[in-house]
Amino acid sequence: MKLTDNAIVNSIKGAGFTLVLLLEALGHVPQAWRRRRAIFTQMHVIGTQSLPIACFFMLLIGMVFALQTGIEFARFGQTNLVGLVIVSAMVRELGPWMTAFVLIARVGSSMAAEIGSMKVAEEIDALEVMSINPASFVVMPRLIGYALMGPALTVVGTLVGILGGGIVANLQLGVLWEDYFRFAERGAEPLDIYWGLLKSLVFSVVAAAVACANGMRTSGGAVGVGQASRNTVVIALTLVVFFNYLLTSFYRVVKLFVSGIL
Amino acid sequence: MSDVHQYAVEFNEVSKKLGGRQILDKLSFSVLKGETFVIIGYSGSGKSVSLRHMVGLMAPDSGSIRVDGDEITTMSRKELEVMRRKFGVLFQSGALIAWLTLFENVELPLLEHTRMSAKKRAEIVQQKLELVNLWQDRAKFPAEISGGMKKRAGLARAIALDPSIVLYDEPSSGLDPVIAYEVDKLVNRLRDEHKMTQLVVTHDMESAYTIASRIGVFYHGEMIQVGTPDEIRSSSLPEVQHFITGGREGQVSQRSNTAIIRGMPPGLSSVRSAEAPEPEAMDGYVLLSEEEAAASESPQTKEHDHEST
Repeated sequence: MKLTDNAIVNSIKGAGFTLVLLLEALGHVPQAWRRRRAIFTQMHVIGTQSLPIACFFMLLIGMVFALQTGIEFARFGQTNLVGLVIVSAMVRELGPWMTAFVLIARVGSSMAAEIGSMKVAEEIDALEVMSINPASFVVMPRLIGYALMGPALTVVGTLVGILGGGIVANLQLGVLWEDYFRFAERGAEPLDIYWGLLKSLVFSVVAAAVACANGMRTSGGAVGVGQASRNTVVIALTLVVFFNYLLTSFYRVVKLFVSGIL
Repeated sequence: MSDVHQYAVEFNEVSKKLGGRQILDKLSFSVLKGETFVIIGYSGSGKSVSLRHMVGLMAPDSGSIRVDGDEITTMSRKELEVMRRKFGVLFQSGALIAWLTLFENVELPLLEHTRMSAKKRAEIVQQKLELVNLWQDRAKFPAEISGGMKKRAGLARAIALDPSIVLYDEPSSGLDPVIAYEVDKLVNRLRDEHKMTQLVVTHDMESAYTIASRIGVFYHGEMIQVGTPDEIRSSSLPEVQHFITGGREGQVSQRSNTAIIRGMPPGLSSVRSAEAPEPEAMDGYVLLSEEEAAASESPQTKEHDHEST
């Protein structure tokens, strides 16, 4: 096997390309005002249009989570505490993570396919020839749109998830709404909320960069476009779980430090 | 070096290898200012690749490329961006941005590279779109128009900034003869009225004769002949004759790994003898393997090959 065919070499090349493209696009952020129209379009596609599916997901996850934890709490007669667990899990983990998951499936794959089609149809080359940097014209608006709407959807999704948990707690577990929210308030401190948003921001930037880079690296017609789309989902999800672990480890240290335990 | 350069584009011994294949092999040619230079050659012979080198989308492995006398192979990205404004490029499929209307597509280069007022931009866009006869379709999106319209809109965008050099990648491919002729007329108009230097890559001989000041014949990464349309028509090179007559005359060089088979392919007549065309009409090409191609070469070169291996 030649060195250039090696899967490891290819992944490193892909990672390098993605990183360079991300940095380049970040360098064009000062032009954001000029490209506000494109950014708004992306925010609409990424945020507004993903809102129903993201809310549906989070609502159901909150409901299932309430049922599952309710079983355990009932064994100790502490069903009232269910709000506490739901909120802490939603804010710290499920909110950022599940929103990222929904967005990668719905937006990341189509973003890669769209840019991949542009690449295959020579549109990216045409931009280069017109001295319009694709990192500025194509990538930057998508990156900003994703980075703004990812955390925004996370906030909405988390609230909907907590609501879903509350509905189940109230109707099926027999927890009073006031008890649910009394304990729910204790589930998250400001630090937890900030950290959840930080996670969501990192996931969004990673997913957008992976989608754009896979699109820009597309070659070989329709097959290549499909490949770019699939690679985006696989790579972005892998990176998101990986970064989730890193960020959670870091969070634990910060949290313990703030609590005075470390 | 004089201030005014005679040549718009000069290639000097440019070589490029892609995927293990020598696409450009010490390619040398130059394009005079104001002329329409047509590059013809078989599909996959590296014509489009040479266009990509001209605008710095690809860098050669070796050799020198000059645009208006400036060496572009050693330019930085910033310098390339400035250099590219001399060029307008019409891509094979038009390469219009899908989410912009035709108006916005033509306006794009003006918006990005000039500080014109919206009114001035609209004037220029109208002028360019009227030139290609698409002003009435300005509000349409690329997905809503035909291939020929996309190409004409692509041309309007390519000349939006009044470039001094326009490159065309297969301008007539995929168009019906009437529209193809319209595009040819546009090319001639740009040469006569706007004095643009134009470089056209095509394999449409009809179109080449209509628009060319000079024709360069591309063969295996080299320019094997450059001349006026008449000189090319009466070329004595078998490879050139073979190409311009569509394979009816001349022969494929022994360097090629294709061969002509005379007569009908075996098996065809026995299956559907009633529908099968006349045997004489069935000449075709076959692709030979490397060994077969080597075997079909003259004994001299064969011996040479054996010595070297």
